[in-house]
Amino acid sequence: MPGHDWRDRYLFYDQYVVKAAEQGITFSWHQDSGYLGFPHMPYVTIWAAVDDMTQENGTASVMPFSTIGIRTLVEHIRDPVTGDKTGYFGKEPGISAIVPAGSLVVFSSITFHRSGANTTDRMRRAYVTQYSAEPVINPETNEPIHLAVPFLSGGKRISG
Amino acid sequence: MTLITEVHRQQYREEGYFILERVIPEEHLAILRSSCDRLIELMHQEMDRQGTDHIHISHRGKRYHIAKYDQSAGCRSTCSAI
Repeated sequence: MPGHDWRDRYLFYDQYVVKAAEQGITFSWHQDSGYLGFPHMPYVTIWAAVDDMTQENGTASVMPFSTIGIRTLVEHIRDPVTGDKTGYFGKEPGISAIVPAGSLVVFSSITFHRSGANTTDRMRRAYVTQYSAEPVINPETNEPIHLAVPFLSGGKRISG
Repeated sequence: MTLITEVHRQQYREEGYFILERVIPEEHLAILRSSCDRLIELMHQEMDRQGTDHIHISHRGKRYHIAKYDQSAGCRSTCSAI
């Protein structure tokens, strides 16, 4: 790619992920790459705890590669009711991120992760940003499927 | 100062993740919290406009996935589904 440096990075997506108080909704084990629907280079997710995260308020859990033995994208099954996609149906508990507000969990788009129900009486908020090494292009439209905001150029932060 | 060490990088390569505890300054957390609360309010307005309790995988009063960045304005002032 002309002008492309291997150290370039792009902001791919950012979103708040919020679990309301006393809500029993869980997010099943999945790889974020399982949501795109086309081959792409794995990208990185930075999951930021905006509130203190506990088992009780449904913190995120990650599945180490060595535990699940999978380092590639698997086919995910979509739940018709919730719209969630699931890629692992086993019993391994993974590693729960029991962390204070202001902490970061950094994981790959092919790392399995999930979150539990928020059984507390307070909302719990996370802020998620994702970065890719190249624009993630939807092959059907030939356009970036989400964002492709230049973030690093030659490994250096682009200001503004 | 570099927060990420070679130990973190190695764990990321071998296990797919690492954790950094308490690295966001309190003043930035305050911004994230107020921004999030505002975006939830805007999503509720959008749900009301559409006459629904869910937009994609966001469900009113249960959970929210609210995209934030607006390339034209530099920050997002309205919500959108994934």
